[in-house]
Amino acid sequence: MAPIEPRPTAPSSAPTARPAQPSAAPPPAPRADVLAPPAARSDRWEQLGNEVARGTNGVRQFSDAVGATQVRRTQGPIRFGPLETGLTGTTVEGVNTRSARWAGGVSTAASVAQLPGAAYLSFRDVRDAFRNPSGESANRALGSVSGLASTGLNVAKGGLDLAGNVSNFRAAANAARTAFTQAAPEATGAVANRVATSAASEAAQGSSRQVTRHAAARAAGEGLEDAGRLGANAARTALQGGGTAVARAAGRFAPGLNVAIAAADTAAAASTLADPNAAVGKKVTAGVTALGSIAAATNIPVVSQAGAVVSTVSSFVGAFF
Amino acid sequence: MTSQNDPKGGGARSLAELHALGIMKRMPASLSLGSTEPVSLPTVQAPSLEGLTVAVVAPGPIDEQSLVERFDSLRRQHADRRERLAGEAVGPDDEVLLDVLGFADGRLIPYSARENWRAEVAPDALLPGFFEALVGAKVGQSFGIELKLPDTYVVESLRGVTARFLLDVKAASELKLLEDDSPELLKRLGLGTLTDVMAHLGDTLARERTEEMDRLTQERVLDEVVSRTKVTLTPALVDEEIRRRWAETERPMLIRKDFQPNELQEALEGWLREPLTRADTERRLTLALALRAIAARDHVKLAKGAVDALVADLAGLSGVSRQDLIRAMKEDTLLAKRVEDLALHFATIDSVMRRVSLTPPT
Repeated sequence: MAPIEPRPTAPSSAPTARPAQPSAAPPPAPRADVLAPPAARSDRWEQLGNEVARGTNGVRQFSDAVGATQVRRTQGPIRFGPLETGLTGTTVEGVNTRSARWAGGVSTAASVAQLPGAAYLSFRDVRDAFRNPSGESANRALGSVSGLASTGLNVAKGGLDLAGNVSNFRAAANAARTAFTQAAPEATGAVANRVATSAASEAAQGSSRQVTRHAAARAAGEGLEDAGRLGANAARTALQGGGTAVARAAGRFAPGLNVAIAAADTAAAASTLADPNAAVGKKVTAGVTALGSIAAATNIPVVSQAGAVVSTVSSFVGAFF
Repeated sequence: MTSQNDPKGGGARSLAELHALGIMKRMPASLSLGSTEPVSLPTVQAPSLEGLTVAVVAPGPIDEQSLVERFDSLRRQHADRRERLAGEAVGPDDEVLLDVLGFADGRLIPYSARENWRAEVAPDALLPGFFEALVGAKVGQSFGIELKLPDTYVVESLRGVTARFLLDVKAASELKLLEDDSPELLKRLGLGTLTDVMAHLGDTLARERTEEMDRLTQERVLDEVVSRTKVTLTPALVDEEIRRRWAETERPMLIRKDFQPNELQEALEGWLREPLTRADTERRLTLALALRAIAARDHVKLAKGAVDALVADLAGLSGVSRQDLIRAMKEDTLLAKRVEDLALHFATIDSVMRRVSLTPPT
């Protein structure tokens, strides 16, 4: 990979209300309307527009750098959402590459913008520019209404007509799972080529036999594992790697699947469990969430947790501990 | 439908309390979040479990590709890592720590908000372009990605839609992977030869497949329980369950990102309007009510062994000792109640599963 050119230098005059420079844990941002009064906000947006233009220029530089191996450059006017930069540059587009992890499967181009600073997620105006490219904030970002262009966000498609029908829902969820399977990335060929194929093949055959035997035993009437243990194992698997496995299964940011809430729960639980400063009670609550929520079959509604479950003991803790 | 009584034992509320409740009821749903008032739950008759017969779910196949992918994951896990400096560019195959918000159709995409999300910078067929675009982003700074979701995207309503993601790249690590068959990698794995490693991974996958098979079979059984349960859920109850789930899961992060009241409401409405979220919520509510009725009818009791196992699993998942966990439950009655609810939920599912006839996979 060619060396990456240095990032454009920051402007000498610090923009008003510019987000803090990066830190490991950005401090909570004050309310946007307090921090950025209208006049100052305008300044900041002009600055942002300029910075984005420069940042996009920077994107061209790194795109040049990685284009030879990971992405294909497409020349043309650079536009990022509402921000028509007026520059001719590059759109990032994936192509087949020497690295198997990066091979194939990418047909969607993406535009990118490096923002000047950190913690922009906490700024209402920035969120509005991302939310609605024809909005007031976007105009301010550009400093010119005429520079705006439609980005085709008005595509409206009908939602799934599934509400209220459990059997249809299950069918849809199964279909979605099938879609996931079909959309799964191809085998990591580079690794496969180097790994001792026969060893993998033998292991696969042996393991498949184990699974088949297990299925036969189940059908023959052996009992299932208890629900708690199944849930715990599912939760352990889901929490591996900070919950990324479930996030992947949920289609990253995909709403609409019954695993989506579980993925959100997992992400929150994994974040808490990874925090060394989290209190014991908070960690245990995260564990309960992981255990109760990740395995869809045992996902307990919140509204039923307010004393609605039938209890056979007057004091759970007193009776068992 | 019956309503639960005043949880405080029927005592009269103070004028101030009633005033506060009146204000809360006029607030947008996204803001009335302190409310954990018991809600009206419909009563249901325990569904019959007579003749409950379900086909075992066929196990997923194990092939070379599965093994190689798992091996690749282990190889990454044992790679040498270098934390990238602030301002340094993210590289392909890095591990990154992200905060993310996603927008489409002028709204926050439900479930798109992520905080401290650890991800690999590698193409993902489910979100093409996203990770490719992340290469070159500066560590410690905010970043934007705009892409058109593919026509094959898993969520139908988002297919072909332009989505924008606003990210904070909080950290990144460059990975230096060891060769697949290097002695150093095998030493780090500690599982013997490459053949031994594959055999181990095969066993692991086999165990996971059977557990998944059991879990899916269990889900199939619970689907049948749901279908046998006669209950009408009001839209308001479904809304309330979704609202509380959202308030527990997504709202705290949005508050930390200084979301304004109308943005919070927009985020909540994203969940409320999402058809499969509603369908899933209805299913979970119906199942919970059915299991509660079954537990009452069949006198399901907690067994000490099962509770001990649950506590051991919880301690392991939470990374705390058993003693600390028990102490936390003693100090926090709400936490103890949640653990008890979970234990009862599992015990009732076990009770149902013992009544099921399983047939071979179809």
